[in-house]
Amino acid sequence: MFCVPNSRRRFLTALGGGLGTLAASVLAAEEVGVKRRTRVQLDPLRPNAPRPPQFTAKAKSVIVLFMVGGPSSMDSFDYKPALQQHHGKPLPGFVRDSLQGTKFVDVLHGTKDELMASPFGWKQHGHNGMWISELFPHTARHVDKLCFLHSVQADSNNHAPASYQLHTGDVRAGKASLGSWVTYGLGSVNQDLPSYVVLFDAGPLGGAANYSNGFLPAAFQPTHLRSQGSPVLDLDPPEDLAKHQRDSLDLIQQLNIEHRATRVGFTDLDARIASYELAYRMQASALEVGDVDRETQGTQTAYALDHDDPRTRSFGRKCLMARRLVERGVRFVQLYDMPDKDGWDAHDNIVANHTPRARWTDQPIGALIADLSQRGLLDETLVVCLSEFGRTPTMQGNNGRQHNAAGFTIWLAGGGVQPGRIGATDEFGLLAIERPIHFRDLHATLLHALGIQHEDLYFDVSGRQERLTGVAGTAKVLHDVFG
Amino acid sequence: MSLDNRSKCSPANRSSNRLKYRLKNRLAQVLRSTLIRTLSYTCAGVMLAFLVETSLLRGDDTVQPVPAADEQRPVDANAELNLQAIQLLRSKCMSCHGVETAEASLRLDSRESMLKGGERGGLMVTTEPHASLLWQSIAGLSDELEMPPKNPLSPSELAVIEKWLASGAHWPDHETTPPSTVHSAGEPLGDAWNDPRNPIVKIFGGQRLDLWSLKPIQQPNLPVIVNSDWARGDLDRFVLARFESAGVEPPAMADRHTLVRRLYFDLTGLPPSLEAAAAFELAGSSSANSEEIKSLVDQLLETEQFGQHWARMWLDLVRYSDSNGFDWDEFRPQAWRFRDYVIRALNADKPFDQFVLEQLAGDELFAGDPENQAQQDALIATGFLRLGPHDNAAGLFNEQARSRDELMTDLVETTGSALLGITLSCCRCHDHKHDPFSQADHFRIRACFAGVQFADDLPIDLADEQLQIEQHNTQLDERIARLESDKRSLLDAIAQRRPSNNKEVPQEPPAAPSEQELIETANESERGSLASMSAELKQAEEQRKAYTHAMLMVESTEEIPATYVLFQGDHKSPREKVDPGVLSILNPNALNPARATREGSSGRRLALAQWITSPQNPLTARVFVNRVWQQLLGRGLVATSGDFGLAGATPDEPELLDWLAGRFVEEGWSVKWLVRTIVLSATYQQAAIYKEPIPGVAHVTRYPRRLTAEQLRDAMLSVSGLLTSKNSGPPEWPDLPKDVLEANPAFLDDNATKTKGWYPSPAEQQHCRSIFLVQKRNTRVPILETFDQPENSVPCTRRLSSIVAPQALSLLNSPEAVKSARRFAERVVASGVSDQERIQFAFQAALQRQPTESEIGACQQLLQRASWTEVCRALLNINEFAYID
Repeated sequence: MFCVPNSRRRFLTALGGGLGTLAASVLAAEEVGVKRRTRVQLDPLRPNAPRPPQFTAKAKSVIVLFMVGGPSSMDSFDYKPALQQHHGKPLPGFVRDSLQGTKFVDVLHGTKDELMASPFGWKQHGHNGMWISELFPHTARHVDKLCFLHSVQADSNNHAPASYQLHTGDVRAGKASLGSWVTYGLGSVNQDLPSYVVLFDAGPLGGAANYSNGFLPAAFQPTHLRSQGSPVLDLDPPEDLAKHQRDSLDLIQQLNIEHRATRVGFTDLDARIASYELAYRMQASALEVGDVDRETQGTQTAYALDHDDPRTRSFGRKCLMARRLVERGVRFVQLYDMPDKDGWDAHDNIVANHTPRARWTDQPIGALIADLSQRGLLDETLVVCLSEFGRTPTMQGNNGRQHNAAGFTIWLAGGGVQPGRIGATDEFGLLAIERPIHFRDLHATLLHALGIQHEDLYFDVSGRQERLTGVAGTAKVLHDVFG
Repeated sequence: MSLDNRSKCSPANRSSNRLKYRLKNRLAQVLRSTLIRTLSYTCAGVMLAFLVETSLLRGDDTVQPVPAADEQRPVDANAELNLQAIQLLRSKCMSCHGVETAEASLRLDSRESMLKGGERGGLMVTTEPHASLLWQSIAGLSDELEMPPKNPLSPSELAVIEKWLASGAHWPDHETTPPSTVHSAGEPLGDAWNDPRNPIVKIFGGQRLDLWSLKPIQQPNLPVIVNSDWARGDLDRFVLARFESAGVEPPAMADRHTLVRRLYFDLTGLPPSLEAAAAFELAGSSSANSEEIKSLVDQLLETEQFGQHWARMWLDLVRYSDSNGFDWDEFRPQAWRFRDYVIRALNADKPFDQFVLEQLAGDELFAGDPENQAQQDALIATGFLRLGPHDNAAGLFNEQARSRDELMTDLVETTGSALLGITLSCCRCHDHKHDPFSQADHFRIRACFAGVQFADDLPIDLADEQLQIEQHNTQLDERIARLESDKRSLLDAIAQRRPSNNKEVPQEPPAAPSEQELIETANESERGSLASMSAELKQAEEQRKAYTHAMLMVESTEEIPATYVLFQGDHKSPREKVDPGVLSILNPNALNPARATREGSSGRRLALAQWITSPQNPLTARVFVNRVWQQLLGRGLVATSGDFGLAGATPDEPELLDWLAGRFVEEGWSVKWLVRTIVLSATYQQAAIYKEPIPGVAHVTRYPRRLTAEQLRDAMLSVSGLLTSKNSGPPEWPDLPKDVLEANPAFLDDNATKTKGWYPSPAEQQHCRSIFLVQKRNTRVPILETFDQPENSVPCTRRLSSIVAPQALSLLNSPEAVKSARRFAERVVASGVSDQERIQFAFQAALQRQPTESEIGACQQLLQRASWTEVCRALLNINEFAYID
């Protein structure tokens, strides 16, 4: 790939400048038919170079909005009139019995045998008159752009295992996360920015094992972009070393090139030389992408950057950064609405827990959908709003709800997704009774939206072909999500 | 293989080799471990007799598939064909479309189920074989469906199915019942090569038996070579023969400078000190003198840094971590004792079989409290069983069964991965898709662990220490009781003097006055007495001695619950019951528990451990020598060091692998012998190659390697002068960026017992070797994570080495890197007066060589504008610093 350079500068230009042309040629070759892919071929010099999908797909990038802690479906997007009518009454025996023989037999553990109606007001929205609780007025405005999955299930009723499964497909830590898989499969269009970005204050329960690259190479590690201060860890040197950065880098590269002279052919050395140039360019591009002050006043207001509540402002900045990132070709952005240690984990007093959290997130999320839509980015950006599980219809503690992995609601938008509603829980919102959707199916569907057949995306780990959707091959794409 | 060859390996001979070696090295250790060994070889002797018989029967290397047992073969003319076809279906299709797996709702275990078909309808149109879905999908005629997805049928196999379909696709009656994966008790069965009743033969239709790694370790003849000057020892003969047969000139030797640097990093994980490098430089020529190198190797093998470096490989394999993982990732304050145990074992050259035995069953090796450090270590070693992730909150959601299931899964998978080099995770939900392992095998091994329970509160102090602690505390308790009683009497006396003021409610006893109230009413001398009593009490409490604890696992004294095969791996769907056992292909019978010395312990783990380190199991020694080869040469003789199965690579040098494995065992499983043998070979000492791999010899060619995350950080600290001398004890906690510390659900929820947070050590203690840094599961040390330190929830069998921009940022700008550059600059400035002297010193320290003229010029150019810190930082970032040739 490399010709022997006759000057250091020219060599560096060859490394840096060549990227654009290459990227373009790869993109031009993107229109390929469905074909079985044997293995993702990584260019060691540019592991994040864009790779064509297997088939033409609308979605080019993904924004995941992760509501940490388990928001209640029957208090947000899964309206249950029966629950409203039977407030205070015991859960009917046949509903409780429906859990028997399923893996959800213990989801009511720790709750009272007393149904709790949603304490929030509900109204109908959009063409189909879908019921949405008063907690999400901004999201409700875009209900006609959203596809709700009402029957999602997790294999554990505890945060970390369910959350690991949602991210990686396995209730145990150690596997690679969705964002790592997507960037491993497709690379990223912008080589000056990280391909997989996570944005959070406190991050998900269960920590970094959620969004980790697991067994995938470090090139597919997420980068945590901070919305305040220096956007990337160790992006800038201390002040006294900042003045001569280019000079320092020139010395490093000159010594590297002398060292390389007797080692031509060993491309790792070239890759490492290139990585220092990329790091240098990243300083400028990461600063630029984090500079949301460049947005118009109207945009900033729409994202609630002038909101009274600092946590709303903080989540607004993250949503706005997410748009700026995908706009610049970043493949995968994952946001967590976790500003504290609890998240939506309303074991007690659901009103006190959910009300402020909805206030922190609803307006920014509504603004993100509107903004992507106005800029024509929504078609090629898949937005997913999800959580590790929902909550029980029966009461826990004082007007709280317990975790419920047996059936809960998430939504998708953009990226070729057809608005609508899929699946259903029973009349109290306890158990998915129509089209139960496993996280595996969700993963297969998200990969499909990006033009990847989930069975073909694998990585050899000690002789085992690991896949996001598991080795059993039981995952099913939810084709009706795409109309 | 001849019987003569084999007899060299007889237990008696091996034991005597073992003894000779040990006596030469460490008499004390032999005496200690012989007892245990005697026990284990009583079993091994029986196993060996069995093995010799096996090898004789098998004859040569090509193992023919053994037909399944059917003594009353029907006279039907097509019987042979039917049987062949059904065996093909079993081996090629039924791991996905069997009774239990039934993917796409399709089963291929009987004619009826094939006619019925699955989601896509019936499989066979018997009147029109070529139109059948079965034929379409296996012959590549369908656009939508290619089966089997990974290993298509060969033309001859296709021909069998074609003929079978055309003949009416008959299924002999006695073949309709799928083979049971569990053999019922009764007469013992033989291994799969010799006993057609072996379940593995039945399940896979006689296929998959030619897996090389399960064949006994051979004692190969040394190859004939031409250029005998090149070869330094027997090991090199194998490699040289490869070069000669490929017609490739054997590689040149590395120069002294390269070799010294390589040896330091490979044996100690650190660069040579200035003094060490200088000593070598002074000694003269650029080519390496083999005596001098030998003495260097011996010297490095005896340093404490040897164990500190090599422990990392083992900790990767056993998913070592200092925390629980899951929601709150609680710190495990005693986990480090296991890390130190590994370092101690490596430095003492503990025989590897003993090392394995202790980790799987250290608690079963002796009774009562530990009598000596060896027994104490055997207990600490059981941390191996305890190191996996643990969900502390599972009980809150009634998910204890899931948590226990995860523990059992972790133990089976870690044993498979770390010790046997096989993927037992693949046969948890169904029979293995590539390898001759059944789903029952997974659960037979699980049954060996079924009795374990956490024993973090078991004291590990030596028995006499425990006695002393107990006596000491008993005496103190008596004194405390006495003091408390005296104090009480005095207080009572004071209380009686107090006037009662509760006359209005005589029924209610008056509230007892507080101690403080009583003291206020006491007289001077009483106050004095009370104060001295309180002080004495406090002092006595403080003198109480605590027992030492570690992360341990022992056997529960309650009845061990039965183990079942779990349908699709789901712990809520138990199926057949299984007995403890090992890989059925090698031994399908229930494992006889070993006689555990510890009372009440079942001996199941000990029996498993003895099997794992016995000659009946050829995997352990092969897998381990291959790992060490990989560690030293960059790539294993088996490229897939974590998978010795059919989907893994076959050995590039099977004879060399077996020679090394056999010698390793003969040398008493000595890890230091193994490392020394490899690094003293010409193969290891060859010069690195940078060009395209040469066909035929690429696997024995040396390529440059980037330092691992730990080597890189340790080198940076060592060269700069920051590295501390910490060599054991609780882990150090490095500083983390402020935004991480202030925002992490676990840190925000930190508790009084200080287990969920992050607690940075004093600044001067943080710059220890990376092995001594805290290794939590959910929060990693950024610089190590970015340089590919692996995920520590599951075993890592091989490090990746990726090259990404955040690594550059970390090595340039992270606080520890900047601090290193500054300290290095101070050293450099103090080293001389002129720029030239200082630059020379800097290159010597960082790269162990003199700078060239143009390098000096380049550094001087930067110095005109920038500081020494920037020059030094550059040296810690360049490729030459990060790579070893």
